[in-house]
Amino acid sequence: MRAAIADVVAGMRQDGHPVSPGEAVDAARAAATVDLRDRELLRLALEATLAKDVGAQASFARSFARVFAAPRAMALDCGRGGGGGGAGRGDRGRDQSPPREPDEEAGSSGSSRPGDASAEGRRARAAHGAQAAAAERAPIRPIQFGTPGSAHPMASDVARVLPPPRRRGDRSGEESRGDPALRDLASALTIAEETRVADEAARRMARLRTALRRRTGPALRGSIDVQRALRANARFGGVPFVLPRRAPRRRPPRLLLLLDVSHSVARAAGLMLLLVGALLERLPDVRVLVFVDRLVDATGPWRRWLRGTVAPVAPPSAGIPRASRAAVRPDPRRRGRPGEGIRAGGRSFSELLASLEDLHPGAPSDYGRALYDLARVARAQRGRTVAWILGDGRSNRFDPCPWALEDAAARLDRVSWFAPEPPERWGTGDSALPSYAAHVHRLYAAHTLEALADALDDAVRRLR
Amino acid sequence: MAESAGELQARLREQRYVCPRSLAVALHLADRLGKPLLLEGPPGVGKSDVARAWAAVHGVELIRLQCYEGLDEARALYEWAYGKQLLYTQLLRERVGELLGGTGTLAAAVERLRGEADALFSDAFLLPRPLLRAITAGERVVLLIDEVDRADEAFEAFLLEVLGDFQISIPELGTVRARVRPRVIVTSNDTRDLSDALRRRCLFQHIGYPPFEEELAILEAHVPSLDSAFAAQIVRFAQAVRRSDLRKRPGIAETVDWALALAAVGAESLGGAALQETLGALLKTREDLEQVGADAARLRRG
Repeated sequence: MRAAIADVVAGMRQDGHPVSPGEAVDAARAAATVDLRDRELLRLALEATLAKDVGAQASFARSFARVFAAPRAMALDCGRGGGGGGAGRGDRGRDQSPPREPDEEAGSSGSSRPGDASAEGRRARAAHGAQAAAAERAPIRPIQFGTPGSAHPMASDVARVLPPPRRRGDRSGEESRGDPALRDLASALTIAEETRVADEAARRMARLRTALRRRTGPALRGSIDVQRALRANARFGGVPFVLPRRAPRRRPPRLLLLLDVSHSVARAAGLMLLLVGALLERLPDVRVLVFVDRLVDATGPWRRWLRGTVAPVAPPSAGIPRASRAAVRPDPRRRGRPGEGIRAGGRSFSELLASLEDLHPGAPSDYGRALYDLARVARAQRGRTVAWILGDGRSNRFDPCPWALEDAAARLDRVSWFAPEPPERWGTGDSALPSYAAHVHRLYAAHTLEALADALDDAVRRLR
Repeated sequence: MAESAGELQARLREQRYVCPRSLAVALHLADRLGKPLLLEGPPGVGKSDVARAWAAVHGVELIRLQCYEGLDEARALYEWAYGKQLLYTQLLRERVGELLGGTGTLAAAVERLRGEADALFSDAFLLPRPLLRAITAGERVVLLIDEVDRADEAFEAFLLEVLGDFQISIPELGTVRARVRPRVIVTSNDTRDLSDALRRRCLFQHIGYPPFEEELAILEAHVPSLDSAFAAQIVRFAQAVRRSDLRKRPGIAETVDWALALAAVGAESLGGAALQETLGALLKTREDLEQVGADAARLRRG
């Protein structure tokens, strides 16, 4: 036990939280007073002795989950919306409940969503047939996480496990540590290391652009392609035996990005905004909302950041005149603020965040408030709107308000959640991710650049 | 002393304090390890009330030190009763005259007086303030150091000695050590960063706004006469108000006050004029009152 506590302490120190030896001794004494068979009780006891502010609590939760790990799970399709590869109800493990009819689904309370059985459901049935429709109607069950002493229950609730984000062979340990795409985005990185991750992200932008490209070949439905029809029927003397059709041109949906930019998640948020920047050509209507304790519209500053025109803002602690601060480049060997190494047009992501006047980076994250505001934004949307949410769901014991997400999801075409934590940490500590998982169409693990890029690739393909 | 966190949680409930498990574990550890507990969170979520309930559970006295800007050691620790000292010197003037009568020189008089002066700087003339009272108490009282973030950093530094070793140095009397360590709760509204040194000496617990079920249980514990459907309506409204962009979000204490106010005017639901008439118990600024008053219909739906 002492070794395990030392590991937790080491993990927190690595995250930049200086746990003193005295506190480690307190933790060991606390562990001696509780029933060690109760994992939750042990976690609470160690948290009270080791995590002395809200920021340290998030670090503690990560460290504790790593050292006292629950069995591993991957990522899950939450069963809402599109079929996604033909995984239907048969893949839902222990769930033996029969699929319900659409009317029954729409009329029921709790996790059902009337919109599921309507327009999008009809489109999906036409496109993918009965199997996809069955998946569409599948009732959503809330997922229970982290019962003390039990096996990780997600494994049985996962509808479809995404392939693990390791396509480059089964490298692990030292070898994978050198690959910037496989670095845990929440780990402590120097500015130079973070820059390497961002450079790797830039290399993946082309693939994302391709994912959104409209299909230009002949289609089964749509209007007749006159030019192709003339060419194809020339050999029949102009008699129209073949009528090639052009895929209907669909207006791309409006994309709402809701990003937690608090300290532990800011790096993943920066990379996501960098990657989504690659889609702007084909997906012009993107709105960026960032939050720590409240929602701030960052659409304009984000676009200016991509163009390299974000106003320079330096930390107020630097005793350098404002004009010359922008010229000072941080030492790449030191650990900077998350986002200092993610640059677009010469400005870092942390500078972008600092330029947002209404954003309070030091405040504790309040997901309930942000999702409540998102629901208000969703109510004002007209036309197809898709939301992508990035966050660890750690709401610092504030009310997580999952009903607000449910309300927003009922008004939007599709909601996907990108969780920048490994799946084994979902639902641990103050994470409200399980309560959110029931209300989103898809929940992605996005804890490494590779996982994030894969998740975005999948989400983009579902926009078409 | 409660045998387990679960038992403590149940006993706090008997004292009408609905306590989440994490807080019960922290209190239990504070008791077992003899460490102060730092509670941080927004105002009105029950940080100070924990101390009251904890003291009641153990049947001991609650000693409270309310912090404020300018609070110094004299107010927190001890003072000499100057008035009393002066009165005694006046009353004992003749006795002092007799005492010094035989001395031939001034130096000899001062020397003789020095031997007797300590009588005026003894326990009889000491006014113990909350910290000293807690340390010299014969039992494990509960010491509440409330809103420590309002005090100056110098006072916070002074607290380190008290919270670290539970001892106080009084120049005239020497060092006073606690016979038994008091149970200490330090609260902070997080209006400024506390020093790492203070945090290190304490166990830590953050108390936020409770979820619906917990707040409903709190309300039912404090206002048992309230109809449960009406109580749920009140809590739902309070939680919706808390999510609005207000200057001052209402805490649990305000929810309880509001419920009491509604009960006092005989309201049985949030409809009608009762809501507008009693909102002042829930909201404490004019802007918030106007905003919520205008939006009441939507907020009533939760």
